[in-house]
Amino acid sequence: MFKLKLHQSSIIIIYKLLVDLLFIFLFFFALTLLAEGLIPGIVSTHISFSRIIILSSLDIFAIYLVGNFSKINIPSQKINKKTTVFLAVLGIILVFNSLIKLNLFLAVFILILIAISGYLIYKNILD
Amino acid sequence: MFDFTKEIKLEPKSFSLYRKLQILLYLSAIFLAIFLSYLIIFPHKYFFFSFLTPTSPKNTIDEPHFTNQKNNELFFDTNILDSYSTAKIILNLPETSKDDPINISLGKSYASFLYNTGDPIGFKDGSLLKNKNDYYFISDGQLRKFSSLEILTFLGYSEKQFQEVADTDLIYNKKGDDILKNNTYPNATLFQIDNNFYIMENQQLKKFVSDQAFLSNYTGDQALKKDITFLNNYPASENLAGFSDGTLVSNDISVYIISQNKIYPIDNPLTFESNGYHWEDVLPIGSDELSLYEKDKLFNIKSPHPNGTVYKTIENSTYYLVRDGQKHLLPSEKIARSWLGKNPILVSEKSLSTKVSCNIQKQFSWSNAYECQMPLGVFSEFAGFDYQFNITSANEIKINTINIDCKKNINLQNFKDFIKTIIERIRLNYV
Repeated sequence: MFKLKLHQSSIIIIYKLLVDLLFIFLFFFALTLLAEGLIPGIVSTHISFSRIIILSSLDIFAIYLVGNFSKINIPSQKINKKTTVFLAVLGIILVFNSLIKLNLFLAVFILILIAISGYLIYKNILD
Repeated sequence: MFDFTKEIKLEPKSFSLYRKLQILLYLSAIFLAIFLSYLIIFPHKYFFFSFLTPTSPKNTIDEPHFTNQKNNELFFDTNILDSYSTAKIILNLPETSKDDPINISLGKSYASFLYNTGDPIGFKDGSLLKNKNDYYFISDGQLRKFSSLEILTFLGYSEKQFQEVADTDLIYNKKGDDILKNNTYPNATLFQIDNNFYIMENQQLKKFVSDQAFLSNYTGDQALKKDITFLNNYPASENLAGFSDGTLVSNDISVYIISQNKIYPIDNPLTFESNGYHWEDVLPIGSDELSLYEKDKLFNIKSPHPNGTVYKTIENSTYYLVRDGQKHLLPSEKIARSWLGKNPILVSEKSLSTKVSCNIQKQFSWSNAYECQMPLGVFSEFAGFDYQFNITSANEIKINTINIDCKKNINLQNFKDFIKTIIERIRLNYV
């Protein structure tokens, strides 16, 4: 049987590179979302969203496997408030942009509902 | 360089290796981003049809068809909104096929403007015409002369309502019977009674659903003004008269095109503008006017202009009317005016005669794929987006698959076009 032998340092390098790859995927994904919000179809006609999501998920799974395999344990970090606020504002702008053709009051109402739902999901499930 | 996993320490040698690989990874990502940008700015557009699986959803070309009995002329078309630089056509032929020379020619315009030309059409029903001392009315497509000026005034017309036309304008409507005193009002006579418009149809008065429905067909001064007692003389039709064929209307946020008693919702603003329509021609209508029509399938980029569409050529202001799968010449400006309820669609007469062609060559000596490339730049000045391909051969054509690859060359002009398209799409999205 062929057995793959890897040094611990090689595994750690792979792990670190996978994390970098995840950052690249998420950066692409965020840019794609922004571009699609402004001009629907500009990116998705060339690369579908599902591909980016599948690749990101595979990368997360690989990070999980490699991390478990080499027993890498990173202590959980405090959420950066500035990043959270930035992402929340960006999310609100993207959702509002998608509702822009609706009546203004209806769009604001839907936006508030989404924000409340998002906050409750975050508080009760993720926090 | 940033490190997202600072907590995981590496020996200096391994760290150096990681940094090199990290740089490689980010450089690859940058190259990938550049490649993706290239695909977005200078895109390719692919079309495909397989004769082996003609009903497959993967086919992006509507089924090609032979235009003659000998099966040596094949026709198909594609709709391409952007202006591309070249089109490469790849035909995959069966192994048994002979090496007959095959020619492919290509033309571009609006699908309906590329229809065969039918007989010229004269004035629209309801038109009031004057030629020298004679007065005419158009009814059921026929030119009917008022036998005397007295009859004209007896029926309620005034000479001012008639437009002066040339002898040559009158030859396109068949000559009908003269209108005599004992005649009743002919079909297509228009009336204005108690602020409502009516049209005579088989001795019944058909009411227009609204004033703007009437005005999409005729002008207000074409109607005879009558008082309400006139309604007692003729029975009212159960049906209402609607808008002129080809009229653009809107209800709420939807825009529709009306043709042959059907109403077609236009799928998006891009389809609307690409078809040469003008926003100022859209008439806002109420649900009562909308309910007069049976809603039909979506009018999308593949839909040809419907019956009632009027084209005007930019070179010599020649008008054409689309009717029943043919385009008909409207021989004069005055005749065209009788059919025009809104701005005509501007087209180029040159687009009818401008063709590019190529002879297919074998791709590789061992394969059955044959290809040729055609420049599309010659079509850039023409309105329309329907590209019509004709494949001709001396013998019967047998093809397995057709592939078309339209691409934009890398140059400043195409980059400027891309920026213009982006600005236009943002405008359509937000304005």
